[in-house]
Amino acid sequence: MNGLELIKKAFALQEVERVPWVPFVGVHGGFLTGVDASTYLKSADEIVKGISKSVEEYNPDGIPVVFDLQVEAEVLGCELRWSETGPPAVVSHPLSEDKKISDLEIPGVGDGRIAVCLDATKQLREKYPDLALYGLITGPFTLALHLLGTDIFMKLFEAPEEVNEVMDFCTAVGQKMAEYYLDAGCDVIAMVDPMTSQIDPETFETFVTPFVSRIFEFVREQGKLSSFFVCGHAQQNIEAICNCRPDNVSIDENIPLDFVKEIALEKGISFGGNLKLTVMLLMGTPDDCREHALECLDLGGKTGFILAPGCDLPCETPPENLKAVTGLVHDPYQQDVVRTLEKAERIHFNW
Amino acid sequence: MSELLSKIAECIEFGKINKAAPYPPNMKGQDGADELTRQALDEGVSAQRILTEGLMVGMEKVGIKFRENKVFVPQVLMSAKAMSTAMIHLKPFFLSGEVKEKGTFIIGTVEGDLHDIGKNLVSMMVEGNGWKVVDLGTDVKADQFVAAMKEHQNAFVGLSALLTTTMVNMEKITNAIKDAVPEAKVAVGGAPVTDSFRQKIGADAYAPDPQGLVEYLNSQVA
Repeated sequence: MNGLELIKKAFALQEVERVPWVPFVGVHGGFLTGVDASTYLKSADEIVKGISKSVEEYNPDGIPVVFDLQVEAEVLGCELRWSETGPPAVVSHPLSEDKKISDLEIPGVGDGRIAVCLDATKQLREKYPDLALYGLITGPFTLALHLLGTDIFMKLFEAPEEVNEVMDFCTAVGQKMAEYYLDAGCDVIAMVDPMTSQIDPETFETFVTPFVSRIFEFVREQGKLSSFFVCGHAQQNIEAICNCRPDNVSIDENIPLDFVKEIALEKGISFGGNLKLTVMLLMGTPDDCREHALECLDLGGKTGFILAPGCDLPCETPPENLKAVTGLVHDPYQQDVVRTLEKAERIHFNW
Repeated sequence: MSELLSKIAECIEFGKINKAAPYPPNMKGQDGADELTRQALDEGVSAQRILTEGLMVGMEKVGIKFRENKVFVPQVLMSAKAMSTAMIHLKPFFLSGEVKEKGTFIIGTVEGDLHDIGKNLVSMMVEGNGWKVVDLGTDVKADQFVAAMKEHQNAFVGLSALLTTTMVNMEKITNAIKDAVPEAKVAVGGAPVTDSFRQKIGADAYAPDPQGLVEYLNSQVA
């Protein structure tokens, strides 16, 4: 069974023979091929090289094409500050300056770096027909925050209609981006909305649920799969997130995996996560990562679970740590050994 | 009198800025932090009492509720807005020295990192608990922290980072501060930061939430 089939099976909550593995490679792809984050995210060819190298090294079942939540914001007029080691940061918020929502238009297929992302998608689709390609779109609340700045938090109470209007626009942008990615060949639309981790369930249900549900419904109508990625501490909103009816929810390391498993499966959706990015994948040893990945595999189980990092991989994540996770995922014998043996004994195996 | 101070605390806790503010809905039409602080001053309540028995009490409750996941960023920002509205009335008393601050806290998001929500929340909480806050902004380099430490003698300093890629700069900045001001107390915080990371880089304090930092700072001057 190839990666795409395995992912589809996990999304359908059918028991799998092996848990699928989706490393969230973003600018780490450039690290693997020796280009800085800024060069990487501006070039379809560099993205294809980085993802190809990741496929070669990490043998994934699925992979995001581009992990950058500033693509739509940049097209809509947010100024970016670029970094060599991470995705760019938004430094200006048009709707808090001189622009009105009526001044903004839904981005076109060839606008800004959308063209780069779609070109990379098409090339990767052709090269890897059996790999689940994830098209990542910026969630409406995070995009609204890019456009409005942190004023959005107070406007939730002081100007709710304005927030609704911006959310409506950002949802239309998200739906269009989903359409572009699906047309270019993606199998899964992952809506990444990390800023929803900063609000309470009631605010989420009032200002987020009605909008993001539309995006998931759209993806369902196209006969494709969807996922809600929420980086950050969003435990309070997991139930509300599941109620938006994505096909999958992927969570960060701050949320206990068993907590999400219980809620997601009860709601009939699959779930993923939540390898620790910093203390394990970035700073740990291959042994630490293997042990930690096994904990996730054992907690997640073989029904409806996809092993993935909590969020976008830090640029300089040591490849040997991700290879250690890869080796473990693909080798049930190694899993048994790690499960059984003491750490000290494992050193003799020289993994 | 204490009833008035309790009402002020309540306005801070629930983010009631002034009478015209629609939030929170259950306090619609009532006086807010703005009117009540002015009223208290008019009635002869000392600015110090308004701060310690009204504003700080409300802010501490917000800090604890934030730690316990009972309120989130939007509610804390509304409380901070109510607080800063009240503080406008108290400003002259800070300038005259009638109201004493507990100390000075310098804060900035570290070099390479432009995120400021966490830093701003910490600033508001610390200020709302009676500290003078010197906010250096985002993308702050080691020498800027050092210069601020030299300008504000005996100040505590806080380093914020949201990204795994920028939190590594905390070590360099902590070392630079300790080299220049050996007795400096450096606190670190932000989403990816942990206490084990704090130990590794030789910083003095880590708190997982703003109220934890407030408690650390207060313990240092108690």
